[in-house]
Amino acid sequence: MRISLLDLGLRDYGEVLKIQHKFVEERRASKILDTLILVEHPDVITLGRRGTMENVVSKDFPVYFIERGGDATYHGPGQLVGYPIISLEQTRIDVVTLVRNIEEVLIKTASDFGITAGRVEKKPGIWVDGKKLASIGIAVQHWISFHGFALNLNTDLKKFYAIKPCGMEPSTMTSMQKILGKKVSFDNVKKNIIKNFKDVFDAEIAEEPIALAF
Amino acid sequence: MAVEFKFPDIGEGVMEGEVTKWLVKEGDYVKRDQPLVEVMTEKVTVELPSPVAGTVLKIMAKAGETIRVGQTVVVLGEKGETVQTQTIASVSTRTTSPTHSGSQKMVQPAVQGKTIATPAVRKFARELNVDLAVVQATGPGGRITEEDVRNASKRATQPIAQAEGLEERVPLKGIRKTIAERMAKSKNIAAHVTHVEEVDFTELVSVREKAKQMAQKSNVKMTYLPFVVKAVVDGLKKHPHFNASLDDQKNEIVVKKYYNIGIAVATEIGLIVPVIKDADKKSLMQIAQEIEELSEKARTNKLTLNETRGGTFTITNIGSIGGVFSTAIINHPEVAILAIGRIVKRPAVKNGNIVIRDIVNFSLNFDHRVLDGADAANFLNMVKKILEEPNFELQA
Repeated sequence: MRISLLDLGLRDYGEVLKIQHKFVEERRASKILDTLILVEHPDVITLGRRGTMENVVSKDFPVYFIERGGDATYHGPGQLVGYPIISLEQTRIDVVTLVRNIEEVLIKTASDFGITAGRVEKKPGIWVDGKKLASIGIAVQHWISFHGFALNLNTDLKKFYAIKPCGMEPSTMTSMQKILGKKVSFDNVKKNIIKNFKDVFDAEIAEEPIALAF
Repeated sequence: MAVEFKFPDIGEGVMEGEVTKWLVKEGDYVKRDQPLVEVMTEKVTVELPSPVAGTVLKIMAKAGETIRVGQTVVVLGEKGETVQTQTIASVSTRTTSPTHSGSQKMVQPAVQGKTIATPAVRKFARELNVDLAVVQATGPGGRITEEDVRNASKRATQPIAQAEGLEERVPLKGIRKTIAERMAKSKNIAAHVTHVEEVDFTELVSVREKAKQMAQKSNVKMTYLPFVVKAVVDGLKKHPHFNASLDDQKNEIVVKKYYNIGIAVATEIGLIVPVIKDADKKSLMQIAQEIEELSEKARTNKLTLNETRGGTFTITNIGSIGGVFSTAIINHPEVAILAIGRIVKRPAVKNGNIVIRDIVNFSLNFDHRVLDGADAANFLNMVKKILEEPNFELQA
């Protein structure tokens, strides 16, 4: 499997949502490769298909109703968000394997920083001592996946009090910073996410070269 | 004939899902592959595409309802038909991908391709390049075992030369594969013509020497390439159809008013072309610096997608390695590429005397669908003149 990487830095949620929709269409038409988008969003609340406004406590942040699975979540500075746009048809990855693989990438990355994280049955995402370190919510259209995961690095966890994350108490959420007692480098985590994504998905990163020969 | 659409097996261990949204209603006509319904399982929402074209006769599960794998969720058929059903397997990623053979109307996809195997066995089969659809299953419940895959793989005959170690098979993948596809595509589509011209670099050699020393102060490596980029951009401004692409679908030549120059870089894994954006707005020094940075990124595999996209014209400096001239392949959908040859000291006639000059062959490959030979000669003449009578601003 070959994937393109797109690091969008800090980008508005709505803008990246549009990019995702565009990429799903382009992936469907085989105009692009499978792609992993990495991004950090300004404060925003998104509601998955199970989400209702009841789980939005604060009105301070913009709210998006989106097509991914799951309930309410918060994205904001200090959180690394990844959107794998993958053709499940071409890679022959089924939706459950996709979720398990993404969890594996996150568990390995946490482990690279000395954090032992794991899975909890029926609760996708990754967990450390009963607290949630990363959330997962995926959508599949035309057998192309989009949306993805959100890993808390140095996220201001108080902001989760704006919602009931996936219907749970906000205190359920944790971050690498909280666990380690110090901030982690965004770039280093990003590097490890990419490395582990390559390993777990058996992928090579294509630079979408525009190549010439003689 | 009406067909039942059942909730397909969308993932290992998934037994049930929740209908989150119907995307069609009873009476709607749907095309094959059109999304029918959105189902959620384990925080994944999946739109299920229709395996057939037809009319939605009856929806069997409401939004919010939990459905089990294999349960009928909708009945499709001909308009006005009564619901008397025949079972149809849905397309799913775990089994076979949608087949596109046969007529569009009410044709069953090939369901016999459905195979039962664990992901580990599927991965194993992929590694051995074995198609599970043709593997004889011996496991419980028709499951394909690893042994089955191994046996199927053994049956495939090995090429003799390969078996004897006289040949090696290297998979065509990654950048090599991209290069292969792009080159073949360009050769297939464009009408390639090569136009070659000699350029006298003697004056430029001393100008570049001066620039090199100035650049050194800011730790920038000044090669000849930035001069060529500058000259090409000036040439493109006068001959805009070289800075263009052909929109085959609309039969339009797209003339670009921005100058993004691709630079071919040889890397261990193959040729990569990072792009200098808005080269017309950058100084010689900036271009030199950018070439250095992009080349380094290309060699260490650190280029971003954005840095290799959006080129309008490409330059390849094959001469730094060698060659008299080369017929480079146009970087499709661009319409021309310039290959710079090696700088060679050669006897030349100047004012009736034989003198030693620094000569370089420039070969311009262009798409004859968009441009003619006269255009190429005029464009290259201009680039040649700019480089032979160098008048560059050397300051940053």
